[in-house]
Amino acid sequence: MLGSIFLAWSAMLPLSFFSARNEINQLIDVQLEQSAQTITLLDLHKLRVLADSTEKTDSVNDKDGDDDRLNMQFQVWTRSGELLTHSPGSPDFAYAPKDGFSTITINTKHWRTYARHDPKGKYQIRLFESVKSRESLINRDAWHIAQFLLVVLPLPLLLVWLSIGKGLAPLRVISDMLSIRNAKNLDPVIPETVPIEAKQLLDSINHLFEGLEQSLLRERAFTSDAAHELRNPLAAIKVQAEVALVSEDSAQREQAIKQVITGVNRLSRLMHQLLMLARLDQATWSFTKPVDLGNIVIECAGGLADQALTRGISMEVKAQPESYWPGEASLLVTMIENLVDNSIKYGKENGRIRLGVISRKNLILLWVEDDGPGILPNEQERLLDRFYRSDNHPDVEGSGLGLSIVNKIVEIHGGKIRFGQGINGFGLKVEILFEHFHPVLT
Amino acid sequence: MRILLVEDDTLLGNGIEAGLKHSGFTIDWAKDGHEAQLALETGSYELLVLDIGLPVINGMDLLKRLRREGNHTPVLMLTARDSIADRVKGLDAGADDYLLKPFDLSELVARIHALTRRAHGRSSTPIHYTDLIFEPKQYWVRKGSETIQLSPKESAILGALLNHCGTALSRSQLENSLYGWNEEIESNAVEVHVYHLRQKLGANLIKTIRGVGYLIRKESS
Repeated sequence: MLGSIFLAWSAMLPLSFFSARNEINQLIDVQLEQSAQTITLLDLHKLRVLADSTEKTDSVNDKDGDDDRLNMQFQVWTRSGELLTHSPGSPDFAYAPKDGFSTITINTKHWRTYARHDPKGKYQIRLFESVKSRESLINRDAWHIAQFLLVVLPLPLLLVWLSIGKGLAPLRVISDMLSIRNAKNLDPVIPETVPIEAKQLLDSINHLFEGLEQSLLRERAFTSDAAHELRNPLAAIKVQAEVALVSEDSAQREQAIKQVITGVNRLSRLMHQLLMLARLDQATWSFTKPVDLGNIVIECAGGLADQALTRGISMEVKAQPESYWPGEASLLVTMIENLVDNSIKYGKENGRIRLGVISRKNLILLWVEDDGPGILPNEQERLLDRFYRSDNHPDVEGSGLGLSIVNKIVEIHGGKIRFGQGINGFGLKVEILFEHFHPVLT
Repeated sequence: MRILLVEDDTLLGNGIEAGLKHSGFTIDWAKDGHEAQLALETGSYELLVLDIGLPVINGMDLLKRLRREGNHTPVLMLTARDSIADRVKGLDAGADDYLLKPFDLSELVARIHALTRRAHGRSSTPIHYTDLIFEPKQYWVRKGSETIQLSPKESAILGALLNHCGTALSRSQLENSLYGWNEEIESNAVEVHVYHLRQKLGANLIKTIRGVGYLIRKESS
């Protein structure tokens, strides 16, 4: 930045010089014109006296320097071209009837000349100024002006530069503080002084750090929770296998081995759910294609009906066709499968499950409900927590991840989840609401 | 039946070898892609069980090479990756079926049978289900000592439900299986046929799932 200011400043010197020259030149011309105006008011006698008293040479030859007078020579012509009088230093110039300015060369000397007629129009006054003298004067004065600018201009620039530097100093402090932040250190940045301009930026940065820290903590907690959760089924498998090894009774051995297989299946399912959660957490999703939730509900119900019947549970579906919502079909299938699976596991034997989808102009409501024991009154808020298992179902086997997965998928699709009472006031009802503020896609 | 197993994990390979031998197959076990190539050059197999994640020579590359050389031995792919993209990649490379790890041994055996049956062009009739033997091409069901005749439409519906046993089929899906013959779709056709099937084969065979359709339960349930 300093370089460009220097560049601009050094360009100013010639610019101001030439600009000043121009101005002064014009000024001298104006002066010449005004002198002519005055002189034309004199009568012939006075003009003769003036001619005699004019000095022949220019005073610029004076080595003192600061003489601002320009020696003016003049001629007086009649309309018929007769030279009535002239000052001794005036050049050998022929009559030129046209009035106004011009620059001429006579005997290698350059003159600036201005001619004007007297008010009565009887004769022409022509004034001469040596170009050389003019130039000396102009250059000298222009240079003075330029010099002034040269010296004075940097001063405010310097002041500005100093104050910017001072103002930016706190930003340097902030950036130093930021440079030592990393994944392990996300403390908020709080310098002693914060310039107003930087305050908003700093607040945003600190807010971001807070969010990141929460996110990292959650991830670490999840990873360690997951590792712990895997230990239990692994321990169960190992024990059962060891029992099988030492069993003398072949029926017992067979039973133990069956338990090993059950344990592996459980572990496998847990691992699948953990992977699903990790996948849901990592990706950013954007959906353009509308999916028919009605179809998906029917498809899921169709696939799980057999499983429900194993517990004697009858399923009823009320799916409104063409309930479109933009989304990823495979995720929505997983979501509904998890809900139905839960209803089957936690519902009562020989009980009922009802599920369905209805859609209106701007919203879609999806629900799954059962008439089993449901949840305890204070469990609702923790239901969506990862690994949370209801205390009301101690005998049911599960990972506690099903609803977390459902919640995440609902969130990704811009929906809301809520819980309520199930069939006839028993059991649990899970409702998912998708609401738009634009016309529904078809 | 001679099967070539290509598996690098000793524990898993051991288990598969023993399990398949128990089911009556003859197994050759190649522990990497290189050994597999040699085995394929010197022997002939009815089926390949191929683990995709192999060291030395990548399972996918082995498969592609096989197909390029014009070898059409059916290949059952074992994979640890369950994304749709990975499955499609495998099938595109020339695999005939895939099985996700961990799997049930019984599932592996069933799929091997299905693949070899397909390769031999054998159809899967008659269909056995609990105490029923169903011959879809001849429209009859044998239940114990009784032989029950079915109409062609009833047979089509029973066939669809049995082929998808364990999954409920909707009315429209069942209608699709009926109306390959450019006929008018009567509105209550499916209900009527199901009613008759229940009369002939027992009320318990076909379950109604309200709002979805009809279901014949999986045999194991």
